[in-house]
Amino acid sequence: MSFMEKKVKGLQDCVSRMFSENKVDLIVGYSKGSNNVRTIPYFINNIKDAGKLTFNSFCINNLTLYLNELKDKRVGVVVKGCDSKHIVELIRGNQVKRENLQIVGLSCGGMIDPLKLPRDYDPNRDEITEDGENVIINKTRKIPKKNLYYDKCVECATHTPVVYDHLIGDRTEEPEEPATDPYSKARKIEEMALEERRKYWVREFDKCIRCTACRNICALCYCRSCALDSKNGWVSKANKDTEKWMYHMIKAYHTTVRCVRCGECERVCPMGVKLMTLNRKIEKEVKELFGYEAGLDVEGKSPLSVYSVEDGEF
Amino acid sequence: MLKESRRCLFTVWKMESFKSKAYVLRKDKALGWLKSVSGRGYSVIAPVSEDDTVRFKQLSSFNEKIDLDSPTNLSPKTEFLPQYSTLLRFQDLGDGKIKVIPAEDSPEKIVLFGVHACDASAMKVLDEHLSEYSRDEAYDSRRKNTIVVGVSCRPDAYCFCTSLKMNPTSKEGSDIFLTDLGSEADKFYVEVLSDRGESVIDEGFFEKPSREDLALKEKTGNALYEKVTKKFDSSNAEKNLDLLFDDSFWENESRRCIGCSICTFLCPTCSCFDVCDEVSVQEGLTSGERLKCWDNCQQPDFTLMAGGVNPRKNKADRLKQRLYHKFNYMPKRIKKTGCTGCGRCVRYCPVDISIPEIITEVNSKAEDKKT
Repeated sequence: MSFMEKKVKGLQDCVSRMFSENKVDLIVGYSKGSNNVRTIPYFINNIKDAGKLTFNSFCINNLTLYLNELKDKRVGVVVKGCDSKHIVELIRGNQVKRENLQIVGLSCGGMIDPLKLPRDYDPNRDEITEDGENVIINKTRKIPKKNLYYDKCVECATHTPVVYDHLIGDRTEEPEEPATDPYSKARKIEEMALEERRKYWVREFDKCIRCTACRNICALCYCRSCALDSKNGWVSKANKDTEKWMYHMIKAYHTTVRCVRCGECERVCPMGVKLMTLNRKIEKEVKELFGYEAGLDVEGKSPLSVYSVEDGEF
Repeated sequence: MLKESRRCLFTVWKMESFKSKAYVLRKDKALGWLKSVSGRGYSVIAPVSEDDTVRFKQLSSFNEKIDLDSPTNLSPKTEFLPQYSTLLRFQDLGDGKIKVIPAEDSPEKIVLFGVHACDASAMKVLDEHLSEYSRDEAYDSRRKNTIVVGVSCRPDAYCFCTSLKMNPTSKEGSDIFLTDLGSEADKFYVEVLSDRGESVIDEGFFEKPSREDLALKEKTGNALYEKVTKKFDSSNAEKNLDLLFDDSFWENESRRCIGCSICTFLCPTCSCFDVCDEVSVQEGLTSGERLKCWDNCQQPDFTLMAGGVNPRKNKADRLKQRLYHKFNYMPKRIKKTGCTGCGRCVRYCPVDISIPEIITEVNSKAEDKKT
């Protein structure tokens, strides 16, 4: 059995046990998508569907997104390192009950961005498998994974979930520092003069069509009534430039001390708006001002909700 | 009866009566032709690659990086149905008088260059759909003033036009259609399909096609057809959907939907809108504008009514609406499927909700019901 097949078997066995021991009512995992480089969030409530769950390097979705609508159910959820940090933040924000959760963690070396694969293969017809180092097309063509990961994976420092009830497979050796500086894109913007920066963001936001996918996919956007819904009167459906700025600035500020840089917002944007650069900038400020990083500590107080004489401003 | 008379109003861009003409256009002459068209007073809009997107933009320098192969992020419906437009302006003049200023008709002449077959066909769907019960005058005006130059594309894994009785070289909806004969031939095969198309052909840039050119065009068309590998059976979709209206299948399929607007905003046949007034008050006098803006049936509040009633409160009902509108209601009402297989809804869906997958499942469940 290949290393990935072992993980899938381990996952399916764990899920089956959770049902047979009556630990959960529902499990959210991954299943095969519309082609061989996609998977989908999949919900099962029965042991006989355990075989439909899978895991591979195309499991990019953050499944913790679905947890807050399931607050009162006993839910099992499959998480990677980045996703598990969301659970920490959801616990901190009182959006999930830890005792109702069965967290099934898997370490990963990174998720593959299908857009980084070469163009000359067919996701609909070609067989796509993998070993530890490579994606393998039709059993013969090997493409090294290290050039194919999402940027957020290359910048990751938590490959193994930070919170879990069951860990499938081995822990990943965590590097001292991430392979790339996670703030490099933010630093590039900081080096620009103010007018140049404004022009950069005007071009980026010009692309925005206010589909709100970035907000809907964010597991930490859980407000019942969102200020950025046009019905609340702060932004209209007319998507003028002022609306775009207001939408993105408010949303970015709302990520302060909470965003765990899962990167889903930027992945889902159909227009390629550089949302992670904005969120990273805020995260960098928080780190520099308060020495704080979101998603790691279930207990401690958020720096925005405590006052200390040592805070830099004083 | 009334519907038939409305259809007659569309003869202005019906193409069946025009005898099509053929040319070839060398790729190194294409920009020159577009520049000359621009010189004759047309705005030339083409798919430009910049800032990680391919979007339709008006050419100004003609040095823009034009990308004719890739699917555009936004469909060209945005040229006829912009995200927001002004219907009218109003001004409180005081003394109980209000001035209402209707929006001006835009007389701009446009050549919309580089439209893929799926998107051009979709415009014909919109033409029918938007004239069913009433007319959208701004849309009609833009359509009347726009010449559509279609072009063959490079299909990707998410396209599925060939499952909808179409292919990458379908000419429906185009006034001129260009088939890219490849980098070796380095030219386009040009088919002129209407009077409007003919009016912008400039013999200075075009040449007569040879027999080899025609043979290569046929060969290219066949090769492109084979490149679309996502396939499903849509032939019984309408009947099978009739059988599944109350099925629990829609609950499962919509479970992962996040309720954004990507599928409908990017869809070339979606046209739902909302109307809102934006006002400001200065020195006690109100002025403002009434805007028509994109809205879509995937939003939870789309069917929310006064009194709090919401017939499509559930995601399952909303997903059902999108599929039925395209594959059941439109075929019944305008005899056209409301989907031309451009694939954008699947390509960009954050959770991979896929029309081919759904219709395949619908077919299978309908078979089970029949037996």
